[in-house]
Amino acid sequence: MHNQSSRGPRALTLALGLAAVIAVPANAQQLKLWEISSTNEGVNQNWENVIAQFEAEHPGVEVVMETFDTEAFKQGLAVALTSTSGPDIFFNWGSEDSAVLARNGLAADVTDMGEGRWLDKINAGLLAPFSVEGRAYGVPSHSIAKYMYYNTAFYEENGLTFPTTTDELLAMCKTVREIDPEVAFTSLGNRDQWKGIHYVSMLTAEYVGVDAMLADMRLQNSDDAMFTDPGYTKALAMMRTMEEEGCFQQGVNVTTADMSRTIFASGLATSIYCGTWCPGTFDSEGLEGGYSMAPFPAVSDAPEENHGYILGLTEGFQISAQSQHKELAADFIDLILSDAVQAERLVLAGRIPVNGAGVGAVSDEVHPAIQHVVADLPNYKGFAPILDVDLDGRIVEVYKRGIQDVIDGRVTPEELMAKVRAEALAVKSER
Amino acid sequence: MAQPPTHHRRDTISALTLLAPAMILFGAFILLPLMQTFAWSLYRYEVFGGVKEFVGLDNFAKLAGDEVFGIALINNLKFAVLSVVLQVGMGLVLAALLDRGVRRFKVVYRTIIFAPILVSTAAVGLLWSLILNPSIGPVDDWLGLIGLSAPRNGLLGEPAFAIYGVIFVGAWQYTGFMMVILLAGMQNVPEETYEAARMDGCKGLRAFFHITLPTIRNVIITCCLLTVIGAFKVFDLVYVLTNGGPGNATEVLASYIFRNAFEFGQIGYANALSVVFLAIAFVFGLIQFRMIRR
Repeated sequence: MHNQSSRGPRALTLALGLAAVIAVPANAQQLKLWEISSTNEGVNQNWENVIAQFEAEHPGVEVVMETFDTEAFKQGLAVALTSTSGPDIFFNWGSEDSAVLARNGLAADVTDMGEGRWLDKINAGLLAPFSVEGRAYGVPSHSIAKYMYYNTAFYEENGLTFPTTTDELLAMCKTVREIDPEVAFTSLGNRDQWKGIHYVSMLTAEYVGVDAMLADMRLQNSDDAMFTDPGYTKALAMMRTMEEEGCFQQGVNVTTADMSRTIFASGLATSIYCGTWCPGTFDSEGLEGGYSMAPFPAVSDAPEENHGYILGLTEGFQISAQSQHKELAADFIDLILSDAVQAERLVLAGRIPVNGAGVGAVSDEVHPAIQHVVADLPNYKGFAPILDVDLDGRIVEVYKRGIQDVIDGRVTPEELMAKVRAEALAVKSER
Repeated sequence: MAQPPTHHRRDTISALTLLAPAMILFGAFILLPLMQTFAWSLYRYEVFGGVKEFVGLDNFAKLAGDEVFGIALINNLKFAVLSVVLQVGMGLVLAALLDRGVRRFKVVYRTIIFAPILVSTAAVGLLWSLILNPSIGPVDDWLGLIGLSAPRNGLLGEPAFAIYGVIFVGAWQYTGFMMVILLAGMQNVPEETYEAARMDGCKGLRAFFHITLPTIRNVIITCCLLTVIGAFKVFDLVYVLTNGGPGNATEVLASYIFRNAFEFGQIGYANALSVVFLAIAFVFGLIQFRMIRR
């Protein structure tokens, strides 16, 4: 026999359950977005605003945003895209990282989705970093570039000028240590290896040249020539020299990128090589504008024609080939590229827009560092390629771990390049 | 007298009904993935492109010449041996002190020593990576107080020492857990046994070696088994503390399997690594299981 007293709560539970089912709109759709996590409050605020606007414009649609740190994002993305629970839209770098997904059918072809959407806002040529064999598999949303940020007060108080060449840089490493042995010229957080490979990317672009470097990275050179340019070993040797000269703080290979920003912000290093996403972090860590920006010093013994590039690339969004909501996803990307959102991303998140139409109205609100970047970027010949996003993942793994060994002096630059070359040949033979 | 056949059948049905949920779960989450792991270890199968080609034992042959696999295997063995020494050894000493040495504030000491196990491994890793960082951590200052200096790149930054740094942090986290298990075993040793031994002149350290240790032998073996299994499973601590670096100096099997599967997309090779990993863990488990039964 049923207990009368239990019927009330049971009926209530059932009623609430039914009400919940009825309350969900029949056309409820969920759009899942994957993005890299950020400690920059402006970035997160911007995402909240964009999602709220999209949901308001698309009743019944819920945008679920999931964020990951860079390593976890890279490790999880490909697997997630092969599953049924992966994201509909996801961030990606306009490089080999996005191309590999396109080649393997994991990213949707968005070439025909742009009409009436982003092609009204940006030049079709900007789709190139996300294109494979003439078809677009992603849409750029902003550019990033890396600069040397330096502590303005330290340099002014000591009557120093930030180095413009690597010879000056090596001399500055000694000068800084003479002023204060506890302070390093620059802070490098290479525990997760991508910071180190960014240094090597820039140095390699100077020594090898961008075009030759790209040919190797795309595995287009002949087997005999691939990764044999002596500039590769020179770039690695420069990293070792910088370590030997005390340019970096102690323990670069156990310091995370976050820690390295803290080291710079706390004055334990006079500079840091960081992206255009960094000023917000410096400000939130207490520096609040007490820094200036400079290009990466030109490599003194590199060919003259190789100077004038800046490390950077275009970032954007791709749509999963498995997504059931591709049109909706395209609408979301289109919103990101709208004049107002691009302007807001510039102001709040420091993202250099690909659509500059709305920028004029907000130029006074843009962070001074980002204003500097916007004015400075046209001065360069172009972006120097970034090894860890433009090169096959297996080769990157050998390269970036080996850079740790080179910095510590356990492996010579020649030994590392022999390993990189062997891995590149193996990858090429399997394609 | 034999039971009627219908009775017997009913018992069988009841037994199977009761076992079914566990068997279904075991089959779905252990047996099937295990079989899939064995099967995929024989294929060249990549996340990117999904290349699926039967290659027989090629993945295992490749493994034999894989330098990083060798480093990872040796690191796991170091982890297992040193963790047993540190976690079980120190746990044993601390348990003995709390059982028969310390008279006051036992609960306070026990709680303090046990506390690190309650903190997530990610938080422990983050905490120790800050403490051991040579630029911003306090270790250099601590060592300076006793006239020593840390390696220039810190304990975790020197390939020769890095794995020992990770093992030390693991021991810091788990020694308290071992202590609690061993202490529970020691508290089950009848007081009468100690009294009888005392009358024969056996007390203090002699009582510990001749009464306590032999009596809790199986508890110690269980602790060793748990520690060795934990040492072979270790992943999170390495991931947070060193990410396998510098170079590949702190790579362990679990992190190498993870990297092959999710960074390089080499699912077939990662499965071959997993099969070897399973075989090693199985052998260790078998040895210790036999020791318990002896």
